[in-house]
Amino acid sequence: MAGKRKTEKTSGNGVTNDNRITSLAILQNLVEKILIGVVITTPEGRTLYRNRASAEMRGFDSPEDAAKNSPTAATSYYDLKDRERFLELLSKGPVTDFEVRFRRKDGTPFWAALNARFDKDDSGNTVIITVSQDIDERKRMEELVAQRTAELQKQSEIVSRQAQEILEISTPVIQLWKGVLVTPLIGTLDSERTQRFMERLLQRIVDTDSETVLIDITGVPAIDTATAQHLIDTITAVKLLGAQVILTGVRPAIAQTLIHLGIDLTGLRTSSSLAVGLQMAINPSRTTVKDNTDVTKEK
Amino acid sequence: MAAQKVSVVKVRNVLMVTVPPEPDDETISQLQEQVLQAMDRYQAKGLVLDISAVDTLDSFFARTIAETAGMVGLMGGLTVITGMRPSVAITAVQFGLTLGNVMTALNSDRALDILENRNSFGRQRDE
Repeated sequence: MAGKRKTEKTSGNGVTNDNRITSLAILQNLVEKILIGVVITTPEGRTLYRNRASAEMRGFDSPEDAAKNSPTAATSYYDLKDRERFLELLSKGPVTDFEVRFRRKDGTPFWAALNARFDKDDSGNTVIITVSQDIDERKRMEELVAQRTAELQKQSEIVSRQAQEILEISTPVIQLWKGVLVTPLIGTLDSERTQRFMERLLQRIVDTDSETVLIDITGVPAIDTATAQHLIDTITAVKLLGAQVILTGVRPAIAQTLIHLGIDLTGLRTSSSLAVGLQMAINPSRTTVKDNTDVTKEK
Repeated sequence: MAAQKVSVVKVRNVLMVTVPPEPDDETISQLQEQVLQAMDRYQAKGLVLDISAVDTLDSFFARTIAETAGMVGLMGGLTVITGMRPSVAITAVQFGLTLGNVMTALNSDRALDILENRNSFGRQRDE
């Protein structure tokens, strides 16, 4: 608590110079020790004071090293236009969280956030006190997040496109023979899929002039009311065009559902397997009573 | 739009009718009239009704077609509808519009094949 020099002068706010010098010494110590950068510059950009943290932030060994190699703002700022912007903001009032790129000793840029204000030194000259923090890490994280978000966006676009394609692939309509189309259904038939499927199937029928469509539902393990109705609708639509449907691959669960649903199944031709169905399609007169079809020619 | 006169053509023993695009109710009614007149005149064994130019099917149209087929049937003819567009078929199914028991065929060639196998008295010829 003992001061080194005694003077009679006191500063305006009632603190004696003794205490002031002591306090200053403590404060100076503090500023040197803290981990955020403190810099005092002239409005023109000449550095009057730089604490250790500020120098180290910029990759210098010490404030002296920084003073020697980068005495002015021109060498600190990566882009001098940023300083112009800074000064303009400062003229309107204290600046907080001004994000700017500074230059390190080796020339590489890094992001810092500045808080600054005008002040007067002892002689009454205007100075700028700037407190800075290294936010390079944070900025890099932000960029990474933005990048990842963009990637995720792209991926979700890919996924939805793939879902679209799966929709197409999983209901292929194949011409097996002259006048015979086969379409193996896989998975569930929701309204949207069915609509799309119906349109494609009917168009193929017209384009290929096919009178017989084998709809194979081996790949459909179970069926709910809506799907069953969609299936029946598809079959009805095909019949309206003047073609016939042979339903093949009906699994036990589906057979139960179709009967229990009470849907009108008259006229629905079925066969136990695709092979038999194909035979029926190619050679209708050769169908025998053995296979469980709805229509057989009594010979 | 005034009722369009629909042409009814006799090919062999079969009546061929092409429905014009976007037929109004009057055109459809007149079509029925013309078909029955032709059936009376020619004693045809069948009617091929080509609807490939039609892209909308309303309930009046569907009903009239079904009726016409019934009337033609009573007069000894079999009706086959051809050329239904996929979009029309889908709409018909979704709205539950049926054509009754009317037969359909992919095109007029096949319709004629079907009708060829009948004799004039409406019975299916044995193969």
